[in-house]
Amino acid sequence: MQNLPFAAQQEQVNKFLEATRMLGAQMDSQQGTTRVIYDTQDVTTAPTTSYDFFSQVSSKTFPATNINDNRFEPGEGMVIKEIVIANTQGTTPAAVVNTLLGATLVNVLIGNNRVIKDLPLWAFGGLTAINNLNPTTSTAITGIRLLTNIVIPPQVQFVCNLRTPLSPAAAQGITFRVYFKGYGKLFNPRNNY
Amino acid sequence: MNVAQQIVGVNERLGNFAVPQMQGTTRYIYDALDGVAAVNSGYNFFQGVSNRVYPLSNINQNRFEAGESLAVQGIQLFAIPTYSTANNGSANGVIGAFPTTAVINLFIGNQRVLKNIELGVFSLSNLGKSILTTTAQTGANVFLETPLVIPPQVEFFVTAQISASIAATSKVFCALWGTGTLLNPKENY
Repeated sequence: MQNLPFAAQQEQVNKFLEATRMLGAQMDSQQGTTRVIYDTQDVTTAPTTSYDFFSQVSSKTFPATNINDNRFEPGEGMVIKEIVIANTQGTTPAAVVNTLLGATLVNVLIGNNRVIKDLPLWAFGGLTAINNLNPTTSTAITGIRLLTNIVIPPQVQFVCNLRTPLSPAAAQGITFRVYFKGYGKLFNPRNNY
Repeated sequence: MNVAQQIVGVNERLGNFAVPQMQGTTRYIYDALDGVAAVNSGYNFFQGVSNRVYPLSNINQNRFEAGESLAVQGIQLFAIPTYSTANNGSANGVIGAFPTTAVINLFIGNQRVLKNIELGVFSLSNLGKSILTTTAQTGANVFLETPLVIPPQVEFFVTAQISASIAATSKVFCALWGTGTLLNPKENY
């Protein structure tokens, strides 16, 4: 568990408030929090090698996802600090660390803007990790602490796309789950805690 | 001076004053070449990258589009033996065994910004890196002591000379990573 120094905490808050203010949302008095959102997609039988996450969460139920819509409610938002990709498929999930599946490209789009461009899973973990603050011995889960703050404002749609270098059959078992973790805001009409 | 300030400073000296409004991001670009089955062979990464399709590379040309840039904070060299996209069985790993030596040069816009730095033994010995997933695992990362900014529209490439002979069925990967910018004509997230 990382205990951020105050300056780093304030930097993410400032960027969040600036980005939301530009969109006309005054978020200063909302409740600060830590958010973890995720979406799961079974890609073992899918015919393509490109998969969108969060775009269809409204049709999914727990435990596939923990949000109802791929945009935050008024007064809510988050700063993406970490992205985690887990292969939750079956008992022998294909490894995403130190394998060719590490060439899977991650793209994140917020409000039609691409904010993460073709970032391979190699950057997340294993011997090629660039900023992994949560090293794990599992080969089926990998994560990265991003080098910049990325803001998801309220009411703006967001999507994460994964493009795999292998067909699902060749990868032999992938049910990807994508997590976003970071600083967030919750709607708070009264007191701030 | 932090990384963001260096990106802005370099771009503004080239007349690109819009970069403070661009989207900050984390970037990792890579290129792959066939192994050369001879000792002390040379490799030119990112040159001719337009001929290599994904997953051999995740960029289309060896210069960034307008609005895009990258402050290189680390460089990697690794290999996938018996490379194949038919299955996920070909694990990637560091090149050769100790004391495999790999000397790297990075050129940005005809200027050499990394001169004959050694990655092979550094990687194999976990020197110059701070991320370990397990104690038994070796890393391919070398963290740079200063970020090196690749501005938009300026060509870049990496040359490497590797002491180990690498089978032609293997792929040798070179990756550059760091803080970057993406074109963003409107709102910044």
